[in-house]
Amino acid sequence: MKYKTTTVDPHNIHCLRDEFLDGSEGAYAKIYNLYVKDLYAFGLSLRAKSELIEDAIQDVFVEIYTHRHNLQNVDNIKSYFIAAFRNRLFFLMKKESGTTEFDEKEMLGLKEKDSEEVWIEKEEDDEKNNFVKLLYAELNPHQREALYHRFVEGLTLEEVAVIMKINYQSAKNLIHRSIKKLKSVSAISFLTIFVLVICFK
Amino acid sequence: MFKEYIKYQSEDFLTDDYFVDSMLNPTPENEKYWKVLIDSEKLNVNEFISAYMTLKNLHNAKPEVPEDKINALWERIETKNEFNNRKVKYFKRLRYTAVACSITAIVGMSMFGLFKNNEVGKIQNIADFAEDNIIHTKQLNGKIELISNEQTLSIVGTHASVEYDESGKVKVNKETIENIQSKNSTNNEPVYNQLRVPYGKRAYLTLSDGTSLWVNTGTTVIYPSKFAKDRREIYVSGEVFAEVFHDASRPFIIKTEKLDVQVLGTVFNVTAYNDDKETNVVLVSGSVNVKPKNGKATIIKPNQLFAYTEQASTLKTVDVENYTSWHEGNYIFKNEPIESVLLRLSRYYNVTMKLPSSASGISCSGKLELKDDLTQLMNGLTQISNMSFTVKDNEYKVKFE
Repeated sequence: MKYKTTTVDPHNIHCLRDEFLDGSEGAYAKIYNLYVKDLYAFGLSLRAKSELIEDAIQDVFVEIYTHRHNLQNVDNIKSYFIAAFRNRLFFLMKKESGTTEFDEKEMLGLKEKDSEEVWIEKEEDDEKNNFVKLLYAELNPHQREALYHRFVEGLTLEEVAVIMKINYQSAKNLIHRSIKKLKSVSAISFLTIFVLVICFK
Repeated sequence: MFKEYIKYQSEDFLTDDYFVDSMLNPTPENEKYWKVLIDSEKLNVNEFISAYMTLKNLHNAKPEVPEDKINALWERIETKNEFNNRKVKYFKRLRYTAVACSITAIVGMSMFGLFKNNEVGKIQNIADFAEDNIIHTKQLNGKIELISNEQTLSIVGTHASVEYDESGKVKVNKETIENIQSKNSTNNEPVYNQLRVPYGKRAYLTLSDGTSLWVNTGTTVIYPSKFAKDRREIYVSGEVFAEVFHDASRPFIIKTEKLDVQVLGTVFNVTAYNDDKETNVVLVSGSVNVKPKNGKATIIKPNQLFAYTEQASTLKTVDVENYTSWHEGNYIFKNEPIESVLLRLSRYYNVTMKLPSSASGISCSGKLELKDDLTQLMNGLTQISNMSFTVKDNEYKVKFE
């Protein structure tokens, strides 16, 4: 199995955090490198514009640089950054679209059209294209986001719940329903059984 | 020990923590665990595969992030942090770059300074405009004036703040002025504005690019309400201390009667009174390029004074504070002839000083707070030298004994 998420030994990240709290510039750079790609990719999955994603990442890292004590009592540092980034990005997206009501779902749904090119970087990857098209066609932004956190980032259900500001059971139900929906519309061939055989050889 | 996996649908697998964890972080143990279940048919293989494939597809759908964007973003963040750090330490003073220089351009010229050059091309350049429009420092009347499109706004008070925003709109003492703003959208001809600050007054001017100028007493500054895309040029007669906003794509040029100073982003001080003979440039840090009209360009290093007259130009190391402290309301001088100290004070307070015709030979050092009353300052000077003075109708008569 080749799945690999950006997980870091919790001991290491807490050491890094402590170095950063002591004023280490090196630790700050390492923390940035550790999380920036995940944050950026998450932003793209929400179909946010690159400029907004970059502004949001900048704001988050500049904020933590000047207020490093905010990390003092944070246990789950990755979740902290994802949640901070998510809040900031939604704020910027809302500001840009000029909507007065804060409705994440509606807001994210607004940009349905320029969706594909964001998640689809490689034209030749048909299988991936089709799957991503399916995601956007069949799932709402909330469902996609939950799947993203759980299966792309490999966050735990508890973490997904905290980040999306819903309770644990809601997060679980959301994912359950999303998968059921996907299954009902996709035809995963039984022929792929050989993949499994290879994987578990 | 096994759960009821036989009934599991793919959505059940995908909400099962152990399943997801096994797929995301496979270990020999969890692989064996699932293999045993599959081999013993204790789970629905189709649903298991469906769950596995869905997870794999989702995982592969992670958007790719270009490395160069990540690096560029890091530079942005570092710059921003540095900026914030400096802001905390030095306030606005060193916000833009660490370059600082002081130019003292003391210019001798005829009463109205009107040397007319032939016009070249349609768009009048700023130096020509200055020659046509500038008035001699001594002709500046009582109030600070802002002139734009042949409209003149008189500003009451001894200190004015004039701020342009990116679009060329102007605020005077924090209030937006509607009728004085750029009207150059119809053609490309720049609209030059003038800020005239008579003796005894001072102003703070923010240009459309974010550059700040502290405008000293007896000074005229000419500038477009909005800069061109490729360059930023202003003209100074008198003295300004400038923090130039860094913009590598648009060099900033301060033109004076005798020389041009070119910088990318800097903090500097121009003294270009048109009744003095010497032009000085002093640099605190960084580097600037000074090009006299009749001479070759010179690059000035930090702490150097470039002094230019028609006859000669010299370069020497100086204490830069002496030349830049005025903008903070202080006047610091070291081993300066007392006559030149008095000349400065007379400008600052807009009074006449009558000095003995022969040089006193007295040099003095010290720091004066320019907010103080002039008579108090003068009393201070009498205590550190053998100077004495009498005052009558704003005229100070000075004697040395």
